[in-house]
Amino acid sequence: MLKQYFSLKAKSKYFLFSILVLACYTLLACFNQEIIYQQISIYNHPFFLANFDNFFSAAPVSFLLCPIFFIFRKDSYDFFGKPSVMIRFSNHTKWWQSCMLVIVIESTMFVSYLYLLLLLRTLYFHKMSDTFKYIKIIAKCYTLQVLGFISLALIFCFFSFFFRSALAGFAVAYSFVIIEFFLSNWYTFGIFIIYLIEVAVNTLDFYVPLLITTIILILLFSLLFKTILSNRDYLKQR
Amino acid sequence: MRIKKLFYQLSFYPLLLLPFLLSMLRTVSLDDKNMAVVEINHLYKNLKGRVILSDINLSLEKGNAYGFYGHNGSGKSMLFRAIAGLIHPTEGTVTVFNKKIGDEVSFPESLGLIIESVGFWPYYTGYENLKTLASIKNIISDDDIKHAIERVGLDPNDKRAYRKYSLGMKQRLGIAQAVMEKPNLILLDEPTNALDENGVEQVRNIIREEVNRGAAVLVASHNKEDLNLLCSRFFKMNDGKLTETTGEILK
Repeated sequence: MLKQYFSLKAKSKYFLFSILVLACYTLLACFNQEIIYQQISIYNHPFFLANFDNFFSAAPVSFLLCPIFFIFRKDSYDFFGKPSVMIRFSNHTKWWQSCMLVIVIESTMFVSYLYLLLLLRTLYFHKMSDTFKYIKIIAKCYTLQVLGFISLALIFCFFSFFFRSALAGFAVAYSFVIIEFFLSNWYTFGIFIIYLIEVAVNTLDFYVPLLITTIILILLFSLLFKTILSNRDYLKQR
Repeated sequence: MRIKKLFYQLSFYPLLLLPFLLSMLRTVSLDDKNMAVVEINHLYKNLKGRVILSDINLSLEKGNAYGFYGHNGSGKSMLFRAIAGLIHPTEGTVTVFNKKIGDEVSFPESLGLIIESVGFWPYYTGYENLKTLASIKNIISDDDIKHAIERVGLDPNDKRAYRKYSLGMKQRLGIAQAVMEKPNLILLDEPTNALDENGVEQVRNIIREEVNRGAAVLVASHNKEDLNLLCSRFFKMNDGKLTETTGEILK
């Protein structure tokens, strides 16, 4: 089933669009190197961290990466929301487990693609040797970001199925991101999703508790959402 | 004395097999032609304070086609949704293949369905669309998929994407996905919509073949000719209420 789903996704316009937009976002810094060097002068960061901060700072995360992630995930709703697909799973638990598996795989794919773009940008600036110094930080950030996108996908998926509309799911999930963006600006700290995706190096001091808390929250919400959705009527898809 | 005790002890062991034997009996009884495939008792469904289905009682057997008719919004599709497990009853029970929907299973185990526009994936060919759906259960081969496409009069090797299909071709592909896995229960909501004469005849033949195979086929249609030609029992839906009618009344 997964093989068929992903070969279907490879032909999807949403998937191709999101891949293309992210590639363009990466290229921006190549044409305007100032945005990275500004970060170096303000925070006195080495190049790799300045590049990383620039790629994953709160504004691009909130206004570019998250919306693009919803577009990237749109096919999942189109697939799992169809009655002809649902009835073939025979029970809600199997259906939800498959949804969750796809969420985990797609979130990992999305973050891996972002890292590939980030590394290509580093390669362009001939700073690859820097990267290997920060391999431990990269691994930790990668894990937290995958979990951040899984959380976001879970919210999007739940509300899309709840309202039988991908647009409604996007509106609710994205409003969480926007609220968090403004709160993090006013109180200078993130709350949950942006906090995980826009990983600052000082966030990594709380890496293990953050990792455990997030995994527990994802599991709990997944269970809760599954219970709510199995008692929900599947009326016409909008 | 010891042998007698041992004999008594051993005589209890077959009791352990009782649940297994009972489940075997249940499975065997599925093959009984007169067994109820769908059993609905006092089914009510309210949505936003409106009664959609009201006190529906129904018992349907395999190897028959059943016709449902009624004006738009009378509740035909909602009844099909309830049987498919897509909506939850406000009151009452729906049992399919001896399993209570929403309790023992979420959706009937062997079900083919057209309930709204199937909504295939537009950038895939007809064959790729059916292959994607078939990959979920993974119980049929590629040849079975191709055969299902041929049965509805389409070409399995057609390289056109689904979005380039005409309305009639889309409907045919919808029928193919409903019958390709040889389900024991088939729910078809307006199966001959958008079809030309040839297409209507092909769909009628498919329904007859499925009934002969032993499936229970439920057809909701405004086309009374279809129902008359295909079905052995007829049900009229009116404001959520179901009444069985005779063939003559239908004519």
